[in-house]
Amino acid sequence: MGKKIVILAVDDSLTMRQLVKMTLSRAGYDVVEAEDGAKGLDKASVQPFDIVLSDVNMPVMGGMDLVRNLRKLAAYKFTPIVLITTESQLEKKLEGKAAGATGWITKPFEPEQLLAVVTKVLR
Amino acid sequence: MDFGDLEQLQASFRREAADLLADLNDALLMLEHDPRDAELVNRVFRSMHTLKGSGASAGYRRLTNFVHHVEEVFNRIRNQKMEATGEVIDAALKSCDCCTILLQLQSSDMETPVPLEAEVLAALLPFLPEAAAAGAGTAQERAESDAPARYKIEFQPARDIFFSGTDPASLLLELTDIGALRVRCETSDLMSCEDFNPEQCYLRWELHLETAEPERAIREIFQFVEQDCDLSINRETHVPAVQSDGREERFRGAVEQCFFALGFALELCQSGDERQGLTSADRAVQTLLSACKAQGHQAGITAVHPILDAIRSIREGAILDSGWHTHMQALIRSASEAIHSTQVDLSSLEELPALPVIVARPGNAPEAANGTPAQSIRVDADKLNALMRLAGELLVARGALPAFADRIERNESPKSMAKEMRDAGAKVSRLADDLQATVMSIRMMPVRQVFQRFPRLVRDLGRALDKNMELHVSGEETELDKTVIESIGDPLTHIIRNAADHGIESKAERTRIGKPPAGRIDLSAYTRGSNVVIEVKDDGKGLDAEKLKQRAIEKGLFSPGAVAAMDQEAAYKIILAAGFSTLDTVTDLSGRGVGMDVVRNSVEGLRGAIHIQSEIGKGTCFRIELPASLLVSRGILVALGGQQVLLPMESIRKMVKLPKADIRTVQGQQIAHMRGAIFPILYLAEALCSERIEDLKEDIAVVLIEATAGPYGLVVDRFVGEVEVVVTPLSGVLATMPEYVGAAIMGDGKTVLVVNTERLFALQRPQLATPGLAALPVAI
Repeated sequence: MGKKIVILAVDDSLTMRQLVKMTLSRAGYDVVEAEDGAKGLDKASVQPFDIVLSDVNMPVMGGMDLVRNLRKLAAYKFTPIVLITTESQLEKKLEGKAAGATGWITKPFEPEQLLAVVTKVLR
Repeated sequence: MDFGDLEQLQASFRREAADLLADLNDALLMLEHDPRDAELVNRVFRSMHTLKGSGASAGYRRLTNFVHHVEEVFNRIRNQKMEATGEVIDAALKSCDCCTILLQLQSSDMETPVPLEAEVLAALLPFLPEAAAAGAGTAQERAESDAPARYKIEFQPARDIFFSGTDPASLLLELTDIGALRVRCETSDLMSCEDFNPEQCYLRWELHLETAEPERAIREIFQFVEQDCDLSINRETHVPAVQSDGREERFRGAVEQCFFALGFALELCQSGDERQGLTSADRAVQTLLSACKAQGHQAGITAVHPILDAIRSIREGAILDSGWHTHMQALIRSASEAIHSTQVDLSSLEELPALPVIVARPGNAPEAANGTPAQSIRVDADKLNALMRLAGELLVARGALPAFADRIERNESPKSMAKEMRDAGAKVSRLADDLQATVMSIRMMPVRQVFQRFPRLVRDLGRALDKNMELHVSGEETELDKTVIESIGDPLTHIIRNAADHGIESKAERTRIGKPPAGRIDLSAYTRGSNVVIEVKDDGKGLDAEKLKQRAIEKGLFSPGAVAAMDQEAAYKIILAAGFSTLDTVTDLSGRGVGMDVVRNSVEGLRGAIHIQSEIGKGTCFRIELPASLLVSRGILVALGGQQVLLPMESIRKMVKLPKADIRTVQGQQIAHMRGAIFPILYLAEALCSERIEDLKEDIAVVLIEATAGPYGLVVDRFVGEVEVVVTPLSGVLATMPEYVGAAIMGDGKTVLVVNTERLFALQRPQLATPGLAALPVAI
């Protein structure tokens, strides 16, 4: 497999962060957590991540802004960024896509759905 | 996820859910006033949505299903398909209560009857879209998925597709997961070498996919890029005659899928969700069986049956051995071998992604060794930052000290250093004080956390009692110690219920006497000195002291003499006595006359005091005074024989030295005469089982204690001084002694016991439950 894959999980909900972390670390990924977009951006700018998973509605900096800011960084030009949305409507997805997100996963999701999406964008 | 992880996740979810439910409650109450406020509807919907989402993730299936229905109704309101009627809001509020109940159940508990659950669902049923529609949809899908079909897919990604982190090739790989794929790549758009930009995508593809999956599954693969590409998916109407090798390939694909699904299902079982896992496993094996049957694969059929039987036995509870996973995996392995062994061409099969291996670890649930849940506290980031800053400053200040030692060693004039050292000492001491204050403040929480449940309570009471009532809340930011916050909810609930039930008059009565039709309850909190005061004030009929007294005598709670000596407030406090209720008919709301004495006990337990003011026809005010912080208290250190004990400052009214002559014995009870008032006297030495003081000095040191039941004088040997201490609860044998509330660690490291001044008198003179000089002749 080579180098271990490191994932940044950004969510203001502790439950969601824990779920993401548990699911992904079980599957052999390394997970770093951040509580909002701003903190996520800080962490991303000092350490490279293979995937960024981010909630949309968060205090300080939301997921959309996080995607826009990450895409401005050279290291994150092509990195898969998946938004975790609660809104299943098309507009949010389109907005996310326009911002530069790779994909999304809609809450609630089962651990295996999350794994499926991560596997999908990593391929 | 192993069990420990799940526990931890669920604990976090329960905390989060409590917050969400509180917010939901607030939003619903506001929505009731303004049912057309779209923002509020959204907020309600969002809270429910998050609750459902996180709940599902944490394995609270029953809660999730339940919330889903309520959420569905609000989704319809949000989409303006219906209105937020009183009926719906009422049901939604009840659903919050129901969620609280469901949260207390085991997450896997689907059976325990919760009447409220059925009630809410029944109330919402008329508003839910027909469930039949959903069922029909899945049936149709299933029919569609059975027949294999061929699709022509034209896929041209946007030039800048790489910038969204997508690799188009990965999508093609994904298509091979669901069927047989033929790929043709169109390279005509490729640039010449000098114009070629490697960050752009110039390729497009024509794909032919043969799959048993519905078109939806194909769209799902492209779901993230649908907006970034030209995509057309067409079902090819003419399915070419099935060739034998195509058939074989489809069978092989289906088999792989089934094993893959089976793997996931087992994983789900191991992660704790056995029910769901077994359902999925059963489905996968059924599909596998029918695939084998359709293919006429006899060895496969024979090998698959045992798996099916095993799943059935586990579901029926016939296999209790928790090690069945190993057994199951062996069965699956042999089935897989049986099916694959007759397959010739397996080499071309793309390697399946390895299933994540689940390793069982001993649980690490955040529980203390004694089984009580670990306590956690949410800390304001500002406070934490202040703490870090102070710790930093303290380190810097400490750094100055070794320098002084060096200078002394170099024989610098100690005198010139004295001032500097004092300054340094002062600095460290200021920092230490700040540090302590900040640490203490972390335990402080706004009373909002308790107050937020009361608007709902008053609303529900209003409906149940058919009274109009308004609750006005103020001072929600006032901070109290975490322990106090957690214990003050119930007493306040009792007081508010009492106010609503017995205080506020009926609508008709209020109109008759010219009061505004809506009764008003004021709930406020404010800081006074080191105490926090919480007031519950109603504008109802007030307490009738005479009636209360009469009632107390009838019930045999107090002697007529005791009652006669009571002042107004003492009479009002009769309602706090155990076994007292002014109404003959016990109402469901205010409880069975047990409520109000619970109030007194809880408040006293927190070292607080209750005062009652009332005016007939105007209303009643309960004032609860509580120490803002339980941990650091001020107190008076007093000497007693050879030892010292601490009296909590908040209970002390004054300290005096009385001439021996002012203490007299009347009917066996010692009393003191102090500035025109009379108080019963208790000897602290006697009360704490030390020794009886025989020869008193000329001047006697008396501490006048303000107990909730009434004031009394406490005779001590001498006053030592005022101290600020950290009080810790007692443990072991000492914890069973009601005379003490805790122990304090003094500056010199010695421990002194803190006297429970609130209960001391009652413990010593049980026959005089109220010390207010009850049974004593008034004229002395």
